[in-house]
Amino acid sequence: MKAREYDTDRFDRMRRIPWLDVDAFHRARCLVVGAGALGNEVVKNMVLAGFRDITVIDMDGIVASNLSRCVFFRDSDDESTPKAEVLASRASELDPDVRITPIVSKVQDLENWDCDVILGCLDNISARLHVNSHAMYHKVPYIDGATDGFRGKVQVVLPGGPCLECSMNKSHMNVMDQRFSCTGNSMMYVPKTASEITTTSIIAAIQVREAMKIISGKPDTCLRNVMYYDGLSGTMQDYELSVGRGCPNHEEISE
Amino acid sequence: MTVRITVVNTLNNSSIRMELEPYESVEDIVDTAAEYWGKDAGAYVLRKGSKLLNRGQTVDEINLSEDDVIELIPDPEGGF
Repeated sequence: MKAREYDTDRFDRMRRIPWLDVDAFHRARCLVVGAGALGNEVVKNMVLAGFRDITVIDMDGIVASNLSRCVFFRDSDDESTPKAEVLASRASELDPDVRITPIVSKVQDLENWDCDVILGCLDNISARLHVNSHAMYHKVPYIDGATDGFRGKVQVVLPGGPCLECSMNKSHMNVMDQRFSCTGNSMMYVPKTASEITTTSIIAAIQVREAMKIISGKPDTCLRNVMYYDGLSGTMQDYELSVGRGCPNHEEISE
Repeated sequence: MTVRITVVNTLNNSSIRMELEPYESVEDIVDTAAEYWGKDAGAYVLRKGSKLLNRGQTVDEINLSEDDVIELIPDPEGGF
């Protein structure tokens, strides 16, 4: 053994957490949906934690208003620069062993859902429901994050358990209807939501922490089922959710 | 049997009293509270204690009793 050999292993300090399976992180195939504020923080945390096979999908280009929350974007980037490609390229600099595959596309056009975990970093209910239904169908754990100003939410959807749609009601559908009615059926208007980096960081960190539990084979320790965070009061609270009657993703269970 | 409960708006801590029949649903409560507070721009969920309520559950099924308090929580959807 060489002196201070423990300092030559990038993941030495993580390996000191007995149940944390860093080698499983290396092997896990991860899908990150959205390369905006949450997507930047999620990918940063995943690469630092040792996840090495990450696919990032996003259709947008970079705008100046992203720069207050996106650690991998620069002033020199512009709308012609796809977020997914920039995020993949710059996050790869953190670890030469990571492979990040960017896909510049709407998630609705994604065909390959073959992965071990999905992290949702989206900004609208419609896309969330799309990812949720595919995750349920393919039996892939889905960790959805969302923010609004100083408030945020993380929901962990495990195969067979309650899903995003189980927690939704008519108010969610009203929001979706308003978005489509603004621009016609082929487009969707997404209003700009208040957002700041500290809440984004906290929500993204919790998403990745839950992914680490799942990939380490400890899904039983995941939060049940929805965590709401309030940055003004500094509180977070987990709420249980049951499978929704009539939820189309649980038809076999509901009937 | 009719029950009277309190619904708290967690954004401003204001509250309303609501009279409910056993067959009425969580969706009915969300709709009524959202209408009262003029909340047409966002999505909301209801919680009772440590449980989030499903839209299809009825007053009877979630064991709402006289003077129970449930909370209306805004459901964030941003992330970009």
